[in-house]
Amino acid sequence: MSYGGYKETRIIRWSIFISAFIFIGFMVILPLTTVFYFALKNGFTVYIQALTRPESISSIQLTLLVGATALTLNTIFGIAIAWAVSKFDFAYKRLLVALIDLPFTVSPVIAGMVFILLFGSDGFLGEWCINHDIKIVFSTTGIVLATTFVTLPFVARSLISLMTTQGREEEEAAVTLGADFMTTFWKVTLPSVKWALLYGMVLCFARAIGDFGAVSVVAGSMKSVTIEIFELYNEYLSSEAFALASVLTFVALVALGIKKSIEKFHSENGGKNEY
Amino acid sequence: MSIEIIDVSKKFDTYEALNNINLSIQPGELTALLGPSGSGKTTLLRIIAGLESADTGGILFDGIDITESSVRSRGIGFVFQHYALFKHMNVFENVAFGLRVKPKKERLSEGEIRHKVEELLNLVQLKFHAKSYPHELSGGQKQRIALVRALAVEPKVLLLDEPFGALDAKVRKELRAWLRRLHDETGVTSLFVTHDQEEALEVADKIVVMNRAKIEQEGTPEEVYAHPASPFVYSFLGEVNLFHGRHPSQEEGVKTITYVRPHDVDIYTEFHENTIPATIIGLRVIGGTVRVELQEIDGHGVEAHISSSRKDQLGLSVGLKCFLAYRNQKHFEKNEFYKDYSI
Repeated sequence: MSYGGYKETRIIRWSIFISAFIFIGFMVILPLTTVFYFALKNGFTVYIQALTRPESISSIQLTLLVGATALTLNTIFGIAIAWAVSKFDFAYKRLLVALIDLPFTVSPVIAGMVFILLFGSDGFLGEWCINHDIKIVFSTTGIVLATTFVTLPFVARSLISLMTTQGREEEEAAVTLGADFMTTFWKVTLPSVKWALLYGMVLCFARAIGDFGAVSVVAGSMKSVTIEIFELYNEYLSSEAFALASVLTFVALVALGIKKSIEKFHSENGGKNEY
Repeated sequence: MSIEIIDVSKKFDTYEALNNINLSIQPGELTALLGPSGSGKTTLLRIIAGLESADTGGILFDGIDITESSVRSRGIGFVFQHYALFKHMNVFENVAFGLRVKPKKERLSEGEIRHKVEELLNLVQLKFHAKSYPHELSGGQKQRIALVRALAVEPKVLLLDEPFGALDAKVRKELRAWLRRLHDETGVTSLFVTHDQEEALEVADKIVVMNRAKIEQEGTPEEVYAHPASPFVYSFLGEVNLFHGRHPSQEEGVKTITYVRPHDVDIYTEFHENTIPATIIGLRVIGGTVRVELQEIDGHGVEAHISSSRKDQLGLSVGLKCFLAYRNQKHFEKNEFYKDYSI
């Protein structure tokens, strides 16, 4: 039996197909092209000039620094959390797993505000920070913290599900063969999840450099790429704004490409390796 | 190496996995831990390996207490039911793993490792698969790799957890015979867990029958098969017919259960002394054996296994009236029976 045999189902099928295409076109493809169109509207020289302004360069530097730091932190903690959750049993494990998802559900603005409330001059830890000459709010540290919070689930999530299905047998086998704790981790656990790890890292980085909500609350006078774009646009400097936007968009597209090729590679090779 | 298990108990939350287990295993023996699922046999094996810790009691290897020793210092080899091969390593690297992770001063040179791994792969006839990855191998090949991977580090004890449980019947039979040969060649003290009585009877020097967190009986395959210590062992080790209240010298008030194996049922077409009249209600020919389903005159069902030549000789067919004699009857008191079967 096939669905295509009847005229009605064919019409329904085509209308769903077309509406999906219109939707994606309108919501994704059109805005994307707009970014590149406006960025390059005044010619390539203007585009390069817009990108090489000192403000643009410093915002790109800040964003890369923040993105790399948040990525490093979340990779280390993501691996640690996933390892703990999937290979060991302990109390409140399910609560911990549930909490990992919190940054996905909480608005980034709130995430930023939390750090102001904690470390700002009126905050719980604000006085302590001032006394010890530690500056968190309105500094790179604050931006890194807010970004790390927002992107925390990516690495942990992509590892937990895979590591849980893989179970503990390979680690047990390694230990019976004489491997110590760290050797087991480096030679058995980590290699078996490398593609999932890379996948999570790509998503984490893409999200980290694109965040606006949390960063704008804690940044103060500092400017990440997203804040710079927002301010340029408000000052009616649209070609500068779109030039920077095109850089972010390009990075996002590259990340998407890497993500897709990991998925493809994983299903062709790694997928079979799993069982 | 000898293994001594002393007063070992283990609970998982409220579930009792092992209840005061005592067992000693002689050096060079191939022992089967046999029991139904949930009987505690795998838990016991994992405690010996150090992958699980006992709540109480201890383990001695060659008289030395290793209860608190780490897994890696115990010198054991462990084979898992689902192979647990390292999926991201090829066959060669899998086998070499244990040799490569040794501390520097004990580690063999790269050339020696290569030589040793090749030798081991030859032993299991998988030399040409050295570069293959686990997902490219069949189940039987995977388990052979898992076995030589465990043997590569020259363990003093080899522990196998349902090693053939995930394989199909034919491969399982081949690997069984191969394991027995391998054990005879290497002489390493081995302990394997199985729920397959045929496997245990065929391969092991000694069988330890477990049920409900306890050891029911231990002994050679002949001993446990011919002289089962409890109704559980009797029925777990082979097919049975059972009858209520047929003990010849039955005392007042003591209810008994009588067991007879199907191959201990003799069928006659004419009346003999001490035979019971019955009717054939079914015949199934399986290779050289015939399974005869019968009904005694009081309606009780009985199964008999006879050779197909015997069947032809007697001219058996469905509906035929015949007479049954039971050899090697085994009687147990009924309360023993309920101890095992009431849940």
